Amino acid sequence: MEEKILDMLADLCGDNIVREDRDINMVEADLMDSLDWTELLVWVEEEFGAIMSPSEYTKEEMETPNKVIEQVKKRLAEQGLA
Amino acid sequence: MILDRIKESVCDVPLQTAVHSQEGDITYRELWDSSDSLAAYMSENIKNHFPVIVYGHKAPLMITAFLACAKSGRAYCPVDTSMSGERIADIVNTVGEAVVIITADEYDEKIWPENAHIIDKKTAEKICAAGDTVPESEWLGGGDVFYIIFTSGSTGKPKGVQITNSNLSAFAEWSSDLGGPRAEKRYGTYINQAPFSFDLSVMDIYTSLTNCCRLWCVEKSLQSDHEALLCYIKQGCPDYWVSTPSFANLCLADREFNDELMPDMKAFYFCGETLNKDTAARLRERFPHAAVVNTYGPTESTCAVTGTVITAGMLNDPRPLPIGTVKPGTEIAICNNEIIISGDSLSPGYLNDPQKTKAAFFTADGGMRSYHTGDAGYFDGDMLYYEGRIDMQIKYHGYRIELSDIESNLMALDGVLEAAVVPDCREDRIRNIAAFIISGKYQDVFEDRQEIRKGLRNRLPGYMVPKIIKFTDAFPMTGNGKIDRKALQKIIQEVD
Repeated sequence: MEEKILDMLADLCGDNIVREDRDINMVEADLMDSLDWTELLVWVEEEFGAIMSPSEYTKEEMETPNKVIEQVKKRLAEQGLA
Repeated sequence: MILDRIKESVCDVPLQTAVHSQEGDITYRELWDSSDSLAAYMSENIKNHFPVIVYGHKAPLMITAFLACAKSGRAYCPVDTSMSGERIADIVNTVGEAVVIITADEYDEKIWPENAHIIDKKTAEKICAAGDTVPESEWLGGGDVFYIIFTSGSTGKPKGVQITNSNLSAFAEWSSDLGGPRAEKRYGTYINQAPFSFDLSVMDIYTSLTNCCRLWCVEKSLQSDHEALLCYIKQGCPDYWVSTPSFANLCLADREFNDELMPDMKAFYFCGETLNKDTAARLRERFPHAAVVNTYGPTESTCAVTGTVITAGMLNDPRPLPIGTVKPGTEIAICNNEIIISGDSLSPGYLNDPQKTKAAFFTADGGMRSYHTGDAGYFDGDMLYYEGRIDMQIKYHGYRIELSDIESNLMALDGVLEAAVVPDCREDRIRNIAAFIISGKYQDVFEDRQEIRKGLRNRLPGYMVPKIIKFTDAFPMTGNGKIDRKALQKIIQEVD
């Protein structure tokens, strides 16, 4: 699952740095814009069945690849999908 | 008309080399006599007057065959050896009953239809040496089609652009004085880069032949061997140079490409692609005594219809380089941002394709036959500026984006020598914008990619900043010597 998320992030950011540095702040680095965030959450639902609404999260909660992976895992566990 | 002008060169300098390639030389006298003999053969042995396909790669015999066709009242259609069998089949189908003159040593018989009238190289050489002549009354008239060049056409079947004798004469009349008066050009040497099936070559072939010059053809095989390429060019001692900007960039990558290698250089002519400031500036630096001339024109209006010498002022102007002032005899209008061309070098249309002809050519208000170029542009005074292909404009996240605009802004960044921007399309949707960069300064590390994005963000709105930044030493090139954007798109798709 981690690999899939990293692939998607690399695709959205257009840069492999998200694989090399999982603590990089994608917001500060201007790698993700709001359209990309929406696309990411829609994709997570399609791919893993976890429903994550943009309004539930602040950007700070998902600003690095590690944080994204953590939040997706958490949500899957909450919804009994993990 | 063209043949009259070439005849003047023959009378003037009969013993001078007219065309040189690695295969050998041909003098003006030989060119004239051989083409006469080949024309006489065709008049006698070929009943129809369909266009004649001339197949090969830059052999002097190819030029002989071109003139022979004109002298026997036929149009020629150049086909380069680098073309795919599929493309050649499309061309043969469009041309109709095929007469083919082969000027290459080897050829695949299977690519030509069984009923084709084929004159192979050996036979052609024999005919050329026979010493027969053809009366001038057989020559093409002014309104007759002189050549047919098939454009690559990004989609669907290639289109055969017909160019008449008077179209070509109007062009040569203008190009002879472009970037310097014709009197100074006499006896000079022209570097030819483009394959003869690419209409950029029309500029060097006919400007050279109508002004007693020597055509020095650079064969494709040389373009992958830098040392041999520079050596061959040096040997030609060229005065004039006609190529795509991409080919000049390829040469500029070598420090030895300078005015010690080519001390006589007087002018570089560019067409077929956007000339970037960086290329022009580097050429001016390496060749302080040579002019850099930018030209523009679609195949449908005979090679080029605008041109200008690039000045220091243009290089300092924040805008991209202009493509020039309009040649006499041609009129250009801008309608809805699109460049519309009419005038004496405008093609009568596509060969055997009334539908596509009707789609691209039209009669403007006032009765002028006109052509939709599909290019965006604007005038500043009498100087025309090019703003990219209308179909290079993409819709991304709802915004209309001009990819060439991103390219010129990338190249304005310090350390970026060349840039090509392509959309990253997946399932017919544009996912991202990708930039390929040639840089002497930046490396493929995150910090450098970020610096480029940051630099662009200062110049462009965020949605125009490419997410994907790739570095390369050289761009893939098409057979015509232009940047191969389709190949770049494929690289992006393969990465993911």
